Amino acid sequence: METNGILVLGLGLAAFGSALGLGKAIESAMTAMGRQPEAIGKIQTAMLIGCAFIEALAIYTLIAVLLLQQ
Amino acid sequence: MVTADQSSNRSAHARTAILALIMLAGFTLAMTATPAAAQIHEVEHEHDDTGDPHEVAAEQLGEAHGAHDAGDAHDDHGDDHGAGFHLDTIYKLVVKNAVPAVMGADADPKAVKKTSEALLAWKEVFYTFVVIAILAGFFVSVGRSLRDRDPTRKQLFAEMIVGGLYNLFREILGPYGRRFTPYLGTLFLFILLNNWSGLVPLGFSSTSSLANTTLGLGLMTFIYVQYTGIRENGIGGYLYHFAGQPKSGLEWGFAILIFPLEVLGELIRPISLSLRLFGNIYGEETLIAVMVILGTQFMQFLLGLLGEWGVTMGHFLPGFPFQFPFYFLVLIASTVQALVFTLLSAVYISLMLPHGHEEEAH
Repeated sequence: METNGILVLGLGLAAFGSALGLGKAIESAMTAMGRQPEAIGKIQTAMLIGCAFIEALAIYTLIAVLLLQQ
Repeated sequence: MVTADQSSNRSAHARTAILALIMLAGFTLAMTATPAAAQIHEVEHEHDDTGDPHEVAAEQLGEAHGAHDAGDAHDDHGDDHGAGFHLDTIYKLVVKNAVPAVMGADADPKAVKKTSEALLAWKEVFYTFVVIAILAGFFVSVGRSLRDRDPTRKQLFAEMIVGGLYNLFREILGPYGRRFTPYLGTLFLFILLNNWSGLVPLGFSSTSSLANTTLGLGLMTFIYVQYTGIRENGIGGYLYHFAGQPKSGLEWGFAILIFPLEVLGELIRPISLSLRLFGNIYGEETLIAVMVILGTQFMQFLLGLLGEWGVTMGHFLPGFPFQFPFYFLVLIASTVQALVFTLLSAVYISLMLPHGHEEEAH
């Protein structure tokens, strides 16, 4: 039971870091879109791919938690 | 005339939106009312008697409510799904109760048992084939009656989907976009429908299981990417690409270091692709399942406060639809995940293509 608590805490930490990264990425993308509305399509695609990579870290943690939970 | 058109258009949109909302609400209610929501831990100990499955199902339901009647509805949060909570459990209960109901009262008990066991063991395959049947049925029926003039609504809808996907992949792959749209578009639609099928009552997202579906999709993309690389560059060019495209002598020296790194990076891609999809969809499904259980338990707890009368009512009332707001979240997130999987596949393909063409496209 205690291990599970620690695991969930670690998952929260991972989500926190991932959220910071996502916020930064999306902020920059939004600024870029505002400056150059004609390039929205390209920026959006690049942003989505980048977001996927950032998010992947939290997902890896989730899978580790799923594997390790008792 | 224009305004009349617009207003009728707007009311049509409103009608569609209301219909969708009603459908979602219906889904919510159906999901909450399914016996699965009543209690999940009862199914964990297997009933090994070969008796009538109707009785077994009824027994389970009775036991589930009985556990609540004992008054520890809010106590058993911890030991139920703290430790062994799994999506499979909820699905198991759904199947065990739904199959006898669907097959009718006078069906052979053994056949009922066999069907539910098969559904449990092959659920990913089953729901994957449902999705394939829907997709193939729709697109084959559209493809058979293509018309240049006066297209049907179905054809316009299909054209919208295909055209949108084509525009999306053209942005990444440039002139190659048209050639890879069939594979990537199919991948997108398949993953999207699989993700969404978890929202339908009695449905199940086969993308929420790692080994069965997502790993297969990742491997498929991996093989396709390698095949594309070899076909476009030839075996020599393919290996040259892995060596980091060295030109001077110094770069050839570094190629020895770069080659294993590139190969490793290539091998990790399908794993990360499939893990990302699995993790996201599994997380969403678990979120909804937890919310369903929470809603039911909260309802039972509130009714329990009313005394004997409330407990009786608890047998008939579904839980609070706590999961309803999360449906929208899951709808959006499922789309994004399907999109991400296909976009990354497109990027991997574009990295394998000869680089000169990519520059021309920009």
